[in-house]
Amino acid sequence: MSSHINQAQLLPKVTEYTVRVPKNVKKKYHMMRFHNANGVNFKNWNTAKMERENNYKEFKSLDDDQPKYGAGSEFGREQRDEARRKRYGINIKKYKADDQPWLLTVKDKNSGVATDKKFKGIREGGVSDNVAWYVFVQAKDGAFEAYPVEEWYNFQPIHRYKSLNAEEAEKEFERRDKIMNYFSVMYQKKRNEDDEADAEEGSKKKASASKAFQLSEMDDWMSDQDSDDDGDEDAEEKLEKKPKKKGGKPSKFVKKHGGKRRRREDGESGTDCEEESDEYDEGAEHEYVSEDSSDPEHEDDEKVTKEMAGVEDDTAMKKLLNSDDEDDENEENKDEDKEDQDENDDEKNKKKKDSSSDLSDSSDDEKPKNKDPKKGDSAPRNADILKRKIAENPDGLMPASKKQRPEGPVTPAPVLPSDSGMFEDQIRRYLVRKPMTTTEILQKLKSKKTGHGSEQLVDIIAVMLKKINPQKQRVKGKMYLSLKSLNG
Amino acid sequence: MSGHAVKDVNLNNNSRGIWLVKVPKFLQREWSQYKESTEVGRLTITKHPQKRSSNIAFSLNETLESVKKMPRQHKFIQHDLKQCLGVISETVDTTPGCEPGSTKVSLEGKIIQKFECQPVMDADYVRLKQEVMRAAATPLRTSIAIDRPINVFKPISRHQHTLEDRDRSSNVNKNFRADRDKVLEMIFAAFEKHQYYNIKDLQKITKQPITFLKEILTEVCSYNMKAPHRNTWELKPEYRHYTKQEEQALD
Repeated sequence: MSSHINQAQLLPKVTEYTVRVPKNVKKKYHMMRFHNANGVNFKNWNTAKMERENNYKEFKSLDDDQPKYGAGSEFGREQRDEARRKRYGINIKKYKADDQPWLLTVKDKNSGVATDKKFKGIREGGVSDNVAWYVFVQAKDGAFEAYPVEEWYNFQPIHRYKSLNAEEAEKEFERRDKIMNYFSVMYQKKRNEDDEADAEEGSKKKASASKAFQLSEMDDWMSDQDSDDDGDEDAEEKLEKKPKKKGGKPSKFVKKHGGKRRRREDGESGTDCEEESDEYDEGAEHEYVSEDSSDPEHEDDEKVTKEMAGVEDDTAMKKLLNSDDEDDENEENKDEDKEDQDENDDEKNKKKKDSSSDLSDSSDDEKPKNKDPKKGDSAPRNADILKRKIAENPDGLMPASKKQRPEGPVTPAPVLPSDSGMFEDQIRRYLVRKPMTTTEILQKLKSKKTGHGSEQLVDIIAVMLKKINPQKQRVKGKMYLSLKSLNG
Repeated sequence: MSGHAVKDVNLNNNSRGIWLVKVPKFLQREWSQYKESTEVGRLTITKHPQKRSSNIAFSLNETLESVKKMPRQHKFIQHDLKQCLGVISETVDTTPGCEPGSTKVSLEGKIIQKFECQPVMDADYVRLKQEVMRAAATPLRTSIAIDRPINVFKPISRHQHTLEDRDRSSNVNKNFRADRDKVLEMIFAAFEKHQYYNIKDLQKITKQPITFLKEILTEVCSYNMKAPHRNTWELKPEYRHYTKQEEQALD
């Protein structure tokens, strides 16, 4: 206190006010809180009206809206509800008008009649939990009067525009997607044009490019099988479900699926877009991936698809063994052509490729080749060996294979491993059990994980079959091998 | 709905500047005790000629008896206002002819400065804080030693008054089959008031044995087994006095 007095003596301007706490039970003070951005200026207010928001209806509807008497009423319902509430200890609060939010309507002095500003003031809790708030108002005699603040209300402007309800919002949201779709339609169109151009000019270049990231001959073979059945619905669906994987290695894919993919885009592009619009991973950005991308992730994806397609190895081999299947296939394709005008082009391409692949078959292996789905080069190579070996069989009922290739440097000599006895036993066992095709045998042995590559296995099986010399039957164009059991 | 009436806000004081002061709870407790208007203290505003800001100190009125234990010296710390704050007051309307409980609203002014009233750390304040801590540390429940054991009664399942009740009810509650038409009349009268009845309620109303009542009810009524009025009886459509549309409208 003394220091204060000292200070007061030192400094010229010291004013003292008394502070009073008036007692007025009837008057209560509240705070109105506005955001600065609302630009509220009390001085500009011409008239202001306040009312409590009427939520009685909502409150009532929560309670119940059943009729008390007459039609639809239930005798003794209220008493029963009351009793039930008492039993469960439910206390229903009464409706209080003074607890409802304030509605404030303000007319500014400057603006016209039409521009009322409307605010809604919601009571805030927790402001006075740990402290007390007082307003200090200067009275006429210069003393301060301190009044406690009872409530805080946060006033926010009421929106004049109508907000969307859930359904409308949904509709708008869909439209947002559609805008994307227009874009993708245009994009698809452009891509198709590009594709066609590419197919004509850059097919050879692409071929070499794709060759660069093939890991082995096996890869090539398996992926060819993957793409080999044109009419197969499953394969188609699989491809559609994995647009990302498609995109991962675009060059390779496009080339291999050349005809099919383009047909899909041309003929059914409309439906395609709609389908893809549902998914976020639609084919937009895939094409920007460079052709030679050796992204490890994509590599993995590719492997997964290959493994999934592994079962189809069998069918591929079957086709190559019974080459008359091909003709059927072509006929199927032609049927599809009738439906699809665009496919005609593809078919021509395919035929072109067919001829080229035929040529390459007879020529050197390392020459860049067209990867037509049906006549992949490395694929038939394995099967051809098996085929030829069976054909060399004296009792072979197989028709002489269409194209026999001279023994290339790639084909390994049939080296029988040390566990050939085991193979022989197993093949014998299979054949005794039921008649099988060679492909089925191959499949069985593959699943045994003998440690040999499928190429090696083919050799081994051929040798073994020669050794075993089973009985042969042709059922539905497929050759079944069987053995009479020793017992029976 | 008097609470929802639209009130004109009195804007006479719309340009008045008001201070908003944050006050510690013990001061509020003290100030709310006073029965009438009291002078609680003095504000000393010291203006330095060099500086822009001024020092504000607040000292409690030492003539008041209850203030003696409190920290008397306080300083006002200024905070900047981040929002637009207004003060309104609600006054109970005492003019004759208006509804009880209705209020008048007036704008008291705009907050121009915001202060925090902080006690100066002196011996008084430390003592106050110690007291507060001590009070907080004392447990709410304490054990009391009693000098003699308290009587605890063994519970009885059959009290005298329940026995009496049972006797009375066994005599009265014997229901006899009345005339069928009379019962029907009673049922129809009941269904004029409400649409749905539980069979127990109908039994109380008609005072008939439940089997007999059920016989009649199956003729003129249908039984609801589904949610909104489960386990209740209602009249078959041909006996109703209200139309279907009316019922649906009410539902």
